[in-house]
Amino acid sequence: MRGAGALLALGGAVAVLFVLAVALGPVPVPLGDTVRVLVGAEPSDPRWTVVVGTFRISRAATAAIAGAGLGVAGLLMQTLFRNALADPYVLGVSAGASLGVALFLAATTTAAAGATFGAGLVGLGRVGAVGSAAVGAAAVLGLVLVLARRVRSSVTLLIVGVMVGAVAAAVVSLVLVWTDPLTAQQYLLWGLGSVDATTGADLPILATVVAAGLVLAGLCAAPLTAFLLGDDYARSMGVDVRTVRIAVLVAAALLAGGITAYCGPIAFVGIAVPHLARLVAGTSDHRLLLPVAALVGAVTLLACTIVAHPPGAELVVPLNVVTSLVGGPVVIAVLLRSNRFAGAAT
Amino acid sequence: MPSVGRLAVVVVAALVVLAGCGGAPPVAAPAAAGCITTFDPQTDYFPVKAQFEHATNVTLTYERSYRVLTVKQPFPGGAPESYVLLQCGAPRPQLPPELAKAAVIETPVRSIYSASTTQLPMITDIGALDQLTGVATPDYVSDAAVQARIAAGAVRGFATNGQTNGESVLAAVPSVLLSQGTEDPAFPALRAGGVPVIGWAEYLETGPLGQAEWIKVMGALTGHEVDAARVYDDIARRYADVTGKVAGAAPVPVLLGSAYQGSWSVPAGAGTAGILVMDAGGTWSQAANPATGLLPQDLETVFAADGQAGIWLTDGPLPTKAAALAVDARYGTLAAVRNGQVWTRDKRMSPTGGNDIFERGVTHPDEVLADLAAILHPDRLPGHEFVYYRQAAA
Repeated sequence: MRGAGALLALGGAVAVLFVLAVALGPVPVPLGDTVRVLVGAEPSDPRWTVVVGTFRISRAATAAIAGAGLGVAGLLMQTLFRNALADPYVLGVSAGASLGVALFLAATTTAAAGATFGAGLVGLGRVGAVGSAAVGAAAVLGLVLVLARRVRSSVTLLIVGVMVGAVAAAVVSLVLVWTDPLTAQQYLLWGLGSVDATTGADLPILATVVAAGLVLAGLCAAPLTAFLLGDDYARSMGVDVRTVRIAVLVAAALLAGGITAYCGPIAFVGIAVPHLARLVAGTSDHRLLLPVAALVGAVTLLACTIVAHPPGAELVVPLNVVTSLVGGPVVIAVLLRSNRFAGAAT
Repeated sequence: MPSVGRLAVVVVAALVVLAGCGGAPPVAAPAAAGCITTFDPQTDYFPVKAQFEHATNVTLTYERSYRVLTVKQPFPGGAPESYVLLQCGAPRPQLPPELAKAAVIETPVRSIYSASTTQLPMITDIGALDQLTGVATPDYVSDAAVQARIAAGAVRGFATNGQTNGESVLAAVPSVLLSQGTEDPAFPALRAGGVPVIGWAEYLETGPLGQAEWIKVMGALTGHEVDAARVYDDIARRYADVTGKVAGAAPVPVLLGSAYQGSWSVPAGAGTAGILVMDAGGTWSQAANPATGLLPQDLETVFAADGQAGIWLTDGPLPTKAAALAVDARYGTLAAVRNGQVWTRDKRMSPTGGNDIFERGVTHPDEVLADLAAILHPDRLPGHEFVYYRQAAA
């Protein structure tokens, strides 16, 4: 009963925060007009159709989808590696996506200047940026997966992932040093993380990729619980460790790679949400823990999005600033107040 | 100990090879003109004295045989720095205590290493190109005359990956290195090695004419003070001509900047970019904002405030309307995009990636202003030939 109640309460919280994320923003839009836009009626000022209908709904939907995906991806990684500090980027997804974006930006700015290198990429615009991040993330994860087949121990795999990520990050540094300042600045902005960049056209793709990752994660829920006591224990329980491990890696790759491609690397959510989810669920049974992590993730990122776009704000607050600056202390407080603090990772 | 001997031979051989790889000898600088041949302590060697009208980050004071150049903020947050520009041929003067640590630079300088492309048009304009021997990144240079000298091997790159190659600068021994207004980890070593570094921070001036007026500093360094004053006066006069043409016209609402990854950078009213738009007869939501930089704003904020403006002056490379929509489909909600009034500032790009508005445009604000005024008030500047801006194709 605790599980069903928690899921219901979290679902309600997601709905409330989604409405708030659509109703609130730097530009004061009358509530009546917000409702009018949502039901397809004509608002008092035609600008509100764009502000609410084009900007805010995409923003709120992106936050909910990305939060759910990152929460689950973080849980998958923490369970697979039995490591409380593991996050969706631990296997180098973020570094791989960063490398893709850095190469794309460098190529397009060079090409815009008339050089031939990357000339075919200029017209790609957002599709090119998102695609290059996805390709970069997929390349790094593909490499890790190939290596995973040769590695028996999850700990070794963790180290391999971190090393591959470090190599990709080094190449990014090299690209940045050789590129012009404008490209470096754009890359920096991408690295701040954002749920504002996704357009209506992006959402169906992002949602499909994240849904696929969530379904695959769900299929692994039962064997994942056995992983908590170690690979050998899982094997003794009849779990095909290698297959489940690959499936979990692919699920995390889809989630983290897809989200990073559209939103940039969003800090903190993937590492903190699983801890909060364990507190809420009160169990380590992944059949409950996975949906709870998805909902807690959506709640967390929606709340951060609302804080990052406060009503009347003159300037933008980068999303990663909010997730880490506000979210960090909150999670510490929650964990310290919890009796389960000591065993939060397991 | 035969092995030690062999090792020594190998090391020496390696050093010889390395020395051979250490680049060509320094580029020979021409003999300095304008040196004092017979020094007379009573003679004022600077009959022409630069006066700054708009620039506030720099001062020049004159003694008989030397000038004192002081940059108030050589880099953001930096303490004031003074440099003694000593006319060559004059004996080293007795300097007051406050200048005890100031670098003494003989002028006219024989060779300049230039870290910022904004310095290059100044050097060309005053006819001091043969004193230029180094630029940071040759690929970013737009100035055709400088490009020709680079191609001829008379000008070298010394920071081609953004990091100053201190050893190559020291080996070339330029008379002076002009910074790009930021402090570089290599600078202390260069100063210790006898290469004076001047903190060139014209970009910390607020206002286009203040930036352009730094050409007078270049004039003092190169011995072209008269040329520098003439070039600057022409720029200031043409600037005033354009503001006169748009005077009295109702300010035209305009959308400025562009978005990246969901955040929109809007120039504030008191910065150079903002002043140019206002002087050209434009207005936007942040025109009255007393800040000087770029303001990162939410898409919805910018859309609600400036989205209805009929003209968009974007800073991104958006050659066509389709390219703009490919970057962000939501740009289609902007009135200027629907009207086809999207203007980009990349008309003058060098084949290797330099944008001349960041080079020549900084020190020729009259040309940028005329472009902006012609976009905002085409009736006031009929038949204007655009220099930096072009209209995105429909």
